[in-house]
Amino acid sequence: MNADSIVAGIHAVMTARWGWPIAECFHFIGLCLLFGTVGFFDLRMLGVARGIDLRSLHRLVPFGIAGFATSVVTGLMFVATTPDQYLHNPAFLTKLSLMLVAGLNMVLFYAISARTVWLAQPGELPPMPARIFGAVSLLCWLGVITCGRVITAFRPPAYYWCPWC
Amino acid sequence: MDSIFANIEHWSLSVWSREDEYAYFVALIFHAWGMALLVGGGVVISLRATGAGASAPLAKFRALLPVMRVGVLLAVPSGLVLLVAYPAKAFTNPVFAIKFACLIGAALLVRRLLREGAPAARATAALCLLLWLAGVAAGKLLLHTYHVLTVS
Repeated sequence: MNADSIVAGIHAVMTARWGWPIAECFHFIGLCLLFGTVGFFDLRMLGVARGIDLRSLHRLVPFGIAGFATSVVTGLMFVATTPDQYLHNPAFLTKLSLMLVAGLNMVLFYAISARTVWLAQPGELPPMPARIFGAVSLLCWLGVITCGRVITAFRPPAYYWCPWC
Repeated sequence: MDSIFANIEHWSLSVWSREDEYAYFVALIFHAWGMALLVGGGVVISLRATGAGASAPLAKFRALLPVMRVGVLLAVPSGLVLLVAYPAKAFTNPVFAIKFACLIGAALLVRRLLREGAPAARATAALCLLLWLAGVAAGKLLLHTYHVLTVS
């Protein structure tokens, strides 16, 4: 299998009657899992629901990673099918940038702050750096949702006839 | 019904939501934020109730309810702006009813999961998670399943 045949296969699936809509459903389901688990972990670091201990809440994050993987796979399917709808689209490029910031923020969180977070008891706020990582993460993912929502507003005029994509 | 839809389509809120350059997209953004907070909280509570990972007492997760209520406060008014723009589109589409059946069912199951002393019911929790995600998927499908856009 070469890259061309993979793209051709994705294209065939995505232009089938229900291909694109079903991929969109999974894209959103993945996002719900990601934002639910990671977003609420971030909120807890910022002081929401302090009675829940952070280590317990963190055990739900693998579901968020599975959701993220689902959204990345379906997202790549959208881009592979209609690349010119996305590759010069400012909303899409901003969305990718925010995902990059969220990723770097996550790496720094685990490198610098995670150990201090596990020591926080139920009822306690984690130290300030962890709270900042949480706030950045939350804002990035809300921004990702926002940019994704307006991608269709910034796509080339050639796509305005295309309600399914 | 068509005369009711036509009437709504002439409301100034409806015309504004449909024709303003930004209104519909701004409403979509607020709707997405609201749904993210509402469904995100629902997903966390359902996952915890299935027994996945977390060992914190389920009763502590009641503290997520205020965040979910903020989600409702964002999603409902923005949803109404989207709805009055194209009332016939929503009310002639059974998927719209399915979306609300899923979300109301999910909300009721969250209440049941959080009820003090209720026996841990993994099947209920799994159903609750499924209903939240199905509600979101149905909402997404509204774009692809309508057969009437406007009647006037």
